[in-house]
Amino acid sequence: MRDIWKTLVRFFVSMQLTVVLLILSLLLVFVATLDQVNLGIWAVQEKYFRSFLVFWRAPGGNLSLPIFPGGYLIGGLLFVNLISAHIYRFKLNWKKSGIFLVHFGLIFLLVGELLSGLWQEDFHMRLDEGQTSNFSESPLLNELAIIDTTDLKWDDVVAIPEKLLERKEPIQHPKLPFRIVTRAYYPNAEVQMRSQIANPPPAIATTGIGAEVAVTPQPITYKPNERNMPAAAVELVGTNGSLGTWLVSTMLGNPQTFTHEGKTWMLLLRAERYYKPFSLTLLKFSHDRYAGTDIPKNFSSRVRLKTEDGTTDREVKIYMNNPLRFAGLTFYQAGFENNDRTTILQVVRNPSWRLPYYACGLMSLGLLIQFGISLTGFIRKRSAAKATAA
Amino acid sequence: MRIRPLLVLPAIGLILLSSCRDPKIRNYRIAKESPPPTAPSGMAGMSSMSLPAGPASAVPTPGIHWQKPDGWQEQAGKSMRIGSFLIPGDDGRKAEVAITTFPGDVGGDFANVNRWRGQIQLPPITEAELSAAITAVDLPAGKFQLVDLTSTEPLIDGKYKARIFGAWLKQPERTWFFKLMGDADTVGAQHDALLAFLRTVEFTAPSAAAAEPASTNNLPAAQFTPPPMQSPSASESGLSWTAPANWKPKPLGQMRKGSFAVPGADDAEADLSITMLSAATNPLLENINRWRRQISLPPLTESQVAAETTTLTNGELRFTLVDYTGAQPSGAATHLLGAILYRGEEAWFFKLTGPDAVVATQKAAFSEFLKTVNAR
Repeated sequence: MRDIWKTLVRFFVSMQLTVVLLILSLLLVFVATLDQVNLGIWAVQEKYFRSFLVFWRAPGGNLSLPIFPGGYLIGGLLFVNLISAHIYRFKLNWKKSGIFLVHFGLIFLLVGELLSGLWQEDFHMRLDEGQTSNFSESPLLNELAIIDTTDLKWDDVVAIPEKLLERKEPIQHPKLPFRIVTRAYYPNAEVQMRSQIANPPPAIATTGIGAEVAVTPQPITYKPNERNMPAAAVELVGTNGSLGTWLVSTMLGNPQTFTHEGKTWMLLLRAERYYKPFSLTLLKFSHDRYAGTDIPKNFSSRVRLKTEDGTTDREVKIYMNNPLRFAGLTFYQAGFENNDRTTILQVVRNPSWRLPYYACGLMSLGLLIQFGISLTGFIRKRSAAKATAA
Repeated sequence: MRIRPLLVLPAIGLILLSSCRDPKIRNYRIAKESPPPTAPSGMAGMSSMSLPAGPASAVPTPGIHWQKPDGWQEQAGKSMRIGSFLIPGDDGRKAEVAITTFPGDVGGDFANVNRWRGQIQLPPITEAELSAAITAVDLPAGKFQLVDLTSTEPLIDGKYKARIFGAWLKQPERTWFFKLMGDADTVGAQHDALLAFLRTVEFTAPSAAAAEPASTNNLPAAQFTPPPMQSPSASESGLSWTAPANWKPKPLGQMRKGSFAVPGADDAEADLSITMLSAATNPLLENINRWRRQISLPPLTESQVAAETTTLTNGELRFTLVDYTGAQPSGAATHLLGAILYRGEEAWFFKLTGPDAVVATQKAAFSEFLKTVNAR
């Protein structure tokens, strides 16, 4: 047992492991960068970096084989390797304190990336000039929103992630007097009015607009400039039986409405939404160009930030490298459209955003100390040599 | 020494954390939303509608703007509609303008005209009659195709004939439809108003380039453009085939993966369409009965299917074949040769329809064609 432990320790503290892991990291980054052409940045991050193993699917089959260690495995092993080396190999002394600080900075960097992967949330907020909004939307994820609109002032929302629809398991929520059963799910599909197609396929829904709509499955897209448009047929089953099967799709613009047990409900598949206790109003979007050219010089959004409790009500200008940081969120100027009348803000929540800064600070300090120690030693030696010579 | 192994545990714990990302149902309450402003400032009097309205919205549609004529009442958008107007007429009659857009060419001009004809119970026209039915006009937004159709029967309240004055505009990725429909008199009175309306239509680009991201976590500019809808060609789909040399490839419609004009004697032609749908929602019996309905044949029951179909095997591909002769709704005799192939989650439909004189002579060629079908 002791021998096994010793072998394990030798393996984890070895410099060879560090070198192998660094080479694997290089290869991983190289291959992932090439594959970005096929998959786009999001899918590549998930497939190569935010995974333990990189899988390869044999063409024409459903068999997936692990072919390479993923980012979590390589990063995790590097992390363990570095910590083990400090515990078992390195001896703390003042002469090497700089190197220790550099290594701890590296550990912080690895932990920071892991926490960013786990905690960071990326959303968009799209505002037309004059429009006020208090929610942001996911650029990738969708949700089935079932909204009780009976109250005159409030909407009660139950938001079901698309992933749960994909599993096709019955969904029950205490706020809903019915169960949701996914009858069909398409991760990417076109919808068209059946009356507009020569030979329409049977409708997959029995109620609402879906009964008149044809759904055509499309291949899943990974391209960064494309977005999957999922569709699903969801049956709502109450205590007295089925209420009907509705078609939901992000391609259907308006929500569908129905009543059940005296309450009015709305049903729609939409981008995942996150509401905030404050709102932004776009006062003006500016797209400055260099004089006489169409080359963009600056993009900026002048917005009014207002909290629900009235404690904040101010104007803010968001432009490149000058994001708005508020309530743990960062609003970057990310895009625009509609002839410069609509702004797109990227909304990022990353509780660990300071870690890379601390890590770089630690590493810089470590390098300074290490060079300082060497320099002092060198100067001392030289002074001593001079004194001896004199 | 004993404590050393324990120091590695936090590291392992952190790594395991990464597997804890399960989607959760959320429940929250929000104040009812007020509707967004209908037109940006400085555009008073101009209705403006532009898709996509958000990352989740439909398709990469360019923004469209128009000037609403007096007397047209804007209606709340209905699902699938970009714009909707109500036009009151005399004696409580009314007409409606619907503006819709769909990816691709939605089956082409021929299908569009016959679809609208069907809506006011007119028999379909033939392709030869198509050019006479359509008028093309060049307007600022592009070349519009116009049709003016009036029903032969009084379809509205049993007293008034129905009329459609419709226009469509083809763009590379999509087709825009502007349909004025109502009783013949109201539509006739609004004929010029619709043309004037079409002159005011203008498009703006769907999405411009985004600003340079401010952080390394920012998205690339193109992230904000939803997918362009493309009609896949045979080579992009999961099957490939080789058609006889005299079969003429036709433009792919929105639904078609393959499309051919199959010639017969005396300029007669049959149509071969190849479509792919979900196998889960397209069981064999339903599709056979759909085809039978199209040529006025009664539906089959499950037990009759085996007797009414034959099978053609091509390697691992197993086609279910049908051969029916019936009549179109217009009464014209028609012959349908069909092949249905289930392949994983996909259901493929090969349908050859047309005059019996053509289809009957092409039956052997159709079987040979199916034998050229290959899974890619």
